[in-house]
Amino acid sequence: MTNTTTALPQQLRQSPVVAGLMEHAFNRAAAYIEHQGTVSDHHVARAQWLDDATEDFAAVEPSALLAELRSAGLLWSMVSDVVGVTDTAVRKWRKGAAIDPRHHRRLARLSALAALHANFASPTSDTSFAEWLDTRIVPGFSATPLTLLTLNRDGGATRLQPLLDWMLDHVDGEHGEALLDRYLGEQWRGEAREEQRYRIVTDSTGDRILLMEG
Amino acid sequence: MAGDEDDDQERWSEADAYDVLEDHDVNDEPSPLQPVGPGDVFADVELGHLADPFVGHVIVVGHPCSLRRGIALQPDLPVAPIAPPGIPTSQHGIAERVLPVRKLLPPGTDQNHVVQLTRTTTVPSEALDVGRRVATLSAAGIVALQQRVVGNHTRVKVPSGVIAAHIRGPLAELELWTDWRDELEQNGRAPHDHDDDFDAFMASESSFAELSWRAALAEHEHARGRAVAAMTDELARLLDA
Repeated sequence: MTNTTTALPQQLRQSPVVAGLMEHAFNRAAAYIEHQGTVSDHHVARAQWLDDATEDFAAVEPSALLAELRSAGLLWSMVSDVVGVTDTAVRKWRKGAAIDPRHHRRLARLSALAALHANFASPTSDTSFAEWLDTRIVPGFSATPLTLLTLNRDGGATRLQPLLDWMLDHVDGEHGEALLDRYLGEQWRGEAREEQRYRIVTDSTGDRILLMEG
Repeated sequence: MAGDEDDDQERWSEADAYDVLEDHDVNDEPSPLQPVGPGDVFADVELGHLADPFVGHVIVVGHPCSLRRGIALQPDLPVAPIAPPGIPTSQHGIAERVLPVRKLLPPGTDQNHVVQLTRTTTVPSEALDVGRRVATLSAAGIVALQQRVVGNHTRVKVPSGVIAAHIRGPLAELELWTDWRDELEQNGRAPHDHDDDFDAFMASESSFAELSWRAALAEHEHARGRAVAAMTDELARLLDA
């Protein structure tokens, strides 16, 4: 039996409007599939680039890698956070101390990320990579790309792809909240609500203090 | 009804837990060039004025903004004893009177310890000789310490992200200061002879409107990169002079 609320009159079923609607729906689906394929191809190529760059940098002395990262504006504590060591260890590597292969690879991965940023992110200054690492992903929450990298020290290039889309500002990349959902889980939203109860303000003596809202 | 009031109470959950120290938060080989700061651990400090006099390891618990005026240390610095015993692991994220540090502090111990925040006191800054500093904490470690200090004094748990944002500037300044001294030493200069020049650099105008570098580091979370570059240039000028 025909449902009278959804059935179309015969003349509308055969109209040019319906034909156009069906054509565009088909085109959209086809474009989506093609887009997904293109994104996948891009991710594969970028992962290959990142892995190759990491391999190349892993053959470079840590002191030279650190000099480059320093010229990109990174503090040693930023490097030590990403590599997972103390900043004293980083200072020693800088002066030629031995580094174990796992830490050398993590350092090389950070150098590869800096190179990716320098070559593909249209940086506006020599320190753009460091500034990007320190820039909040969403305004109301403290997490930055540096935070996400420290949580993915040994994550493969595939795991990093959403963050790399964010770094390179692809129009079809995930928006900030989705990015945080992916890397931190949805509990970050509760943490953000807690953080938003506080404001940092400068008082009349010039000191920066915390004010609690409400 | 009492029961209804109980039902209205918010309950503690895992998400409300205090941050705890991780292994890589403890640096047991701190650079002697690093200025004294929050989270520094010193050996053989005497706190003879406590009700139960203490001699041993203490940790600096002051907020980084309160420890110095400019680059000069305050005459008295707040510290708390680090002592055994530890507390049950299930209490590590809840305890407010202590910061559990497991066997991470003091370095080399085989006993669980806590920072006894209820015994916080001050010592003259001269009592904290860098030669007796046995460990420092990472920024995340200092955040965990500060969060527990505030909790002990106020029973308010401030989110770690808020504390991290608040102390990022002064901690970056301490790190840049260490680098400044390190570069001087690497170039054959006496590392402490140009502390006043570092202070002048921090007070100089930054690339953030009319803010000094010190103010820019405090107000702009992404200022660290530009400060590194500016300080590198300033050091190069100093070394060339």
